Amino acid sequence: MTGTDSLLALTAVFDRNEIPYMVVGSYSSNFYGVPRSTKDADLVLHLSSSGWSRLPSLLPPEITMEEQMGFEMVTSTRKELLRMKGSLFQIELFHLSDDPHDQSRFSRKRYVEIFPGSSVWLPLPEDVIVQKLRWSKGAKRAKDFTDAVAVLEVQGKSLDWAYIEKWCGEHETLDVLAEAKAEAAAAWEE
Amino acid sequence: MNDSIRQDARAADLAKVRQARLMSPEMKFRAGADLFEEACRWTLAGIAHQFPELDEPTRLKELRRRLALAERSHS
Repeated sequence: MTGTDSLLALTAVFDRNEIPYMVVGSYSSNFYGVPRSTKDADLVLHLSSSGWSRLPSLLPPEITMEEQMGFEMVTSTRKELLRMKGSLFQIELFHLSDDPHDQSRFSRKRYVEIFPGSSVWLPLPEDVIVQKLRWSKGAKRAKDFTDAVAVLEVQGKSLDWAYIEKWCGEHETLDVLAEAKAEAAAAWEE
Repeated sequence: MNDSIRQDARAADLAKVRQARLMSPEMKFRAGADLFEEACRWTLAGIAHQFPELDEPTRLKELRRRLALAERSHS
């Protein structure tokens, strides 16, 4: 079973149990931008405390949940780590936080058909860009900036710029947005 | 010289953007993990070539060590 097959088995469990989720991180930037290698899938889940406690019993047999919870560093969001048997691929489950942009992107998520019979919840491309730029500045991670540029290059003029600029203003990332736009602009003429 | 390198790099980037625009939703969704698994297979082959005396679990351990190194250098 590939990493993506494990991910799709997991999202099928979430759909069956009506657990609200969305696939974020590099899976979402790969979907809207230029694909790159990734060793993990990141998801945001909206679950109560009892829901989180019940989650390990719902997981497909090839997936196990680490007992120790972690924290994401930019917004201090809680996260859980899932491991796939016989694979180096990992899945991280982030708790939906009270952060205003986390709430906004979760409310705007959409159900996308990946192939016939298989759909997943994904954020909109504007929210992928906003989040990637926030991480590129907050965590000083070059790969997040590259991912944001790739989504800008592919999606180009169809993006809701007012929405992107509003959140980049809130996050004080308008400077990196300007840099990313300058890099992406050549691809819009194609 | 530098201008020529920059132009070549830019052309390569634009080719990737064109290719991405042509990919199906399934291809785009699967590409990240598929590329990772392929890269791991190549690295494992390199480890086996460099350290033929290592058994499979030790080769995997070395692969995990290299992945952790990459993770540290990107975060």
